[in-house]
Amino acid sequence: MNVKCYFIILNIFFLSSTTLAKESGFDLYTGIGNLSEFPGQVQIDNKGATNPFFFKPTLQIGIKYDFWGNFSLNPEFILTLPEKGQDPLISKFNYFTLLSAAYKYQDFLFRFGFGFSIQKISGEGGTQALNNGLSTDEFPMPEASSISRNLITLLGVEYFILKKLSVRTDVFAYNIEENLNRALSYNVSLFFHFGDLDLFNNNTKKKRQRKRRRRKRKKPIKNKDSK
Amino acid sequence: MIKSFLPILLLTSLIAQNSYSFSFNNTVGAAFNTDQVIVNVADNCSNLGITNEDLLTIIQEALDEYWNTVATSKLVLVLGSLITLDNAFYTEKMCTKSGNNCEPNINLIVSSGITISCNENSTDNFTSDSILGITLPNNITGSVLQGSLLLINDRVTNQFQNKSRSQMISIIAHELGHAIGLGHSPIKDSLMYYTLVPVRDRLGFDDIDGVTYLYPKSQPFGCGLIHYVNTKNDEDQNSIILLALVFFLSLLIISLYRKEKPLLVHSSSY
Ligand SMILES: [Zn+2]
Repeated sequence: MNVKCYFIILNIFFLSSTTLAKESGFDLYTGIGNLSEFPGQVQIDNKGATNPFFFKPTLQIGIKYDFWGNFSLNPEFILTLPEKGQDPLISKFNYFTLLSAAYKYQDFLFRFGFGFSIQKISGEGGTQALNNGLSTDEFPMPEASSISRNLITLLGVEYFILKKLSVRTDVFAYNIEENLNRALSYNVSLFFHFGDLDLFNNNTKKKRQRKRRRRKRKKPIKNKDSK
Repeated sequence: MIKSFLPILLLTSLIAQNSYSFSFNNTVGAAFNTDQVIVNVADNCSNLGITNEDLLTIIQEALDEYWNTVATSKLVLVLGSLITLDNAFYTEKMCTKSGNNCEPNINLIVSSGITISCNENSTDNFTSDSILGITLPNNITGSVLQGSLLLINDRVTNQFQNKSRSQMISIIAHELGHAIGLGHSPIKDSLMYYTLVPVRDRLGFDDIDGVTYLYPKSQPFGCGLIHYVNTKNDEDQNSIILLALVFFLSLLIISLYRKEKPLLVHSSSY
């Protein structure tokens, strides 16, 4: 299936949801996690072994935005800590911007969404002496940064241990419509939920309430004048 | 304009290594500027112990099991066809040496893409039977790689013919790594490690970093969505841009709608 088909599905979903929306509510949450990139798909030694788990800590922040019954919209941002490649002279840095729709069922939250995985690889330049056939030669190293951007599909399940504490596993699918370079990563995370913060709700409420009071005050005066 | 290059890249026996990462196979970090690179194969091999058709199949597997599998890279290597080359490709040396550098032999310049040929030159190219293949990006303009030549040792006593099928695939894949601009990696996990390892099935993280650095994917508007048929490109890209606009417009509608929602909820309780 082509990526544009996902866009169509997503658009239909969101457009229809705007007309069906009944409730509102916010939940700001933040978490820490671990991203395993392409488990089972990368050789990790000289004997052909692969690894089902990799260590790559992540920091996450997101908003759960209720829009209809048990459904919510979740814009999220995930950041990996800056890290070195297998070479300490190579730096790598990842971040994800995600948008998912979630369905709440008892203590579980099932999510489906899309986003971007952005990766920056940087080098410090120079050359390095490496074996080359029967001798050793100087090989140039990367001296700039390169940024790759992948559109990813997200599938996840979250379990609320407590009202404000949850654990979640997300699977990120790269190139889902391709055969050869389709790849999966998964992120396991622990979240703390701040709930419906004043930042997102009460201030806005107060402003609107003030506006409404002003409008109400004006209306009777107008009526008196007209009489 | 053809520049001078580092010495040619070989695949031989185990030597002690330092701890570095992926490197480049040319002084300017050049890479192809197209997402699809065609790999043509010469029909001049006679001592590899396999037919031309077998060789084509092995090369196809080298493409599909290694370089075409990287999720974060836009590069797609496409197997071309069997071609007949000038005899120079079978007999002449890869480069004329000047000091430590290598000046590409002008008789072997590849005009575009990657060419794989057999070669029996034992005085300059394959001074040992343990050298299985050599590769040189021999046509570079600025930092754009135009053409690379990959030569397989076709001397009667070559050791390529004694390798297992999976080793042949990984040897070709390693040389293709040089052909797209990568140098060696001293990390044993990597295909671009300078020698064969006991079992090689997949790329390592250093290979993935290297090819991603040179050929980063840029979805959805970039080349990541482009498939094998070039004529579809414009249509695909336009529709994606349009759909993305509709997507963000729908998000805008949602946020505007929601902005008004709390007003309604609280007016009833006010
Ligand atoms: Zn090599």
